[in-house]
Amino acid sequence: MANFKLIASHNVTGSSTASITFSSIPATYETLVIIGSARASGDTDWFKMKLNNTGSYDARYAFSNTSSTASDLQASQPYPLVNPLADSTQLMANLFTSAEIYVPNYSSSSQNKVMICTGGEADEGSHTNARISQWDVASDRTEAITRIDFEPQGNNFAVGTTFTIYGLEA
Amino acid sequence: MPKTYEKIATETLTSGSTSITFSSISGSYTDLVIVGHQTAATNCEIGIRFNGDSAGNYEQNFVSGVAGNAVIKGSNTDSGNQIYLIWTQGTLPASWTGTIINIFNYANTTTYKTMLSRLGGKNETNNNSGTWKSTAAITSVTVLGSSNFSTGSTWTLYGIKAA
Repeated sequence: MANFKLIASHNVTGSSTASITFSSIPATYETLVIIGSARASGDTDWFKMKLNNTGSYDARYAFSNTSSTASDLQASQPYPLVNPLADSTQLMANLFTSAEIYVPNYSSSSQNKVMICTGGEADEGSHTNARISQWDVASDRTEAITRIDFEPQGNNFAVGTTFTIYGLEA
Repeated sequence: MPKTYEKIATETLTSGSTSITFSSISGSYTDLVIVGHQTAATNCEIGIRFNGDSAGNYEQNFVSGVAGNAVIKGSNTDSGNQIYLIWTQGTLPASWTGTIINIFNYANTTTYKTMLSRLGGKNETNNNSGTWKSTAAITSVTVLGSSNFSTGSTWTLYGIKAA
């Protein structure tokens, strides 16, 4: 029997925060699924997702992106950008980015890890900043994932940002 | 708490193979989801077929992003013999990719079947919507490679149960 099982949830309350961390992720699931609703406190474009943020990250990640306007590829990056992030300097108030991230086979200790990330945001004003985007990320590391960190590319996560991590049970 | 997301089966390769098949899928769920983690030693395009149907009964639309190129988008309305999850060769070798496939209302016997897929890794991203032009209930799903998937490649089939 399998199920979506809630592992942990983080809600930004009171004041903005520079990062959100899920640690001590158990290895008892087959796939991790992360659902997010996020906004930055200032000027930014994307947010990052780091795996096992405990040492050197040089050349750890490579990723590709298809958005509604362009495609891109980055190799040998210290961190991946995985999702658009609502920019509070350009977008209307209360607008948050949505995100869905799958990390299959995350507890394997022999295979490179990948992340399938889909996200987007509307823009009721000019529409110039409305986006839908898919980022697919490959890590060159093989160790089991026990920690995940999210950080805005710039500024902080705004109050109201939420991330929830689920495990797909084996 | 009721179980709404059930694992039906997992296929993990212990040797190279050009396909895996989930068969004898019961009709007791509302939708199917496949989560994959795969790689290959040589260029490998990935496709999907239902109920072993290799005739020209498939159509799809896609949006893909490839290194150094603008967004690729288009349609395959030429009655293909499978739904391609990836559109350019060269992605799978030497890199692991992830796959999420959603198959909707798979057990009904009155409508054509539809699916969405996301597949990608470090070299490209692929988003597809596909149609199998059959009203038959889906009882088997085959993931196909144009060359061998490598040992350790794994796919898990889940059924989403009605609440």
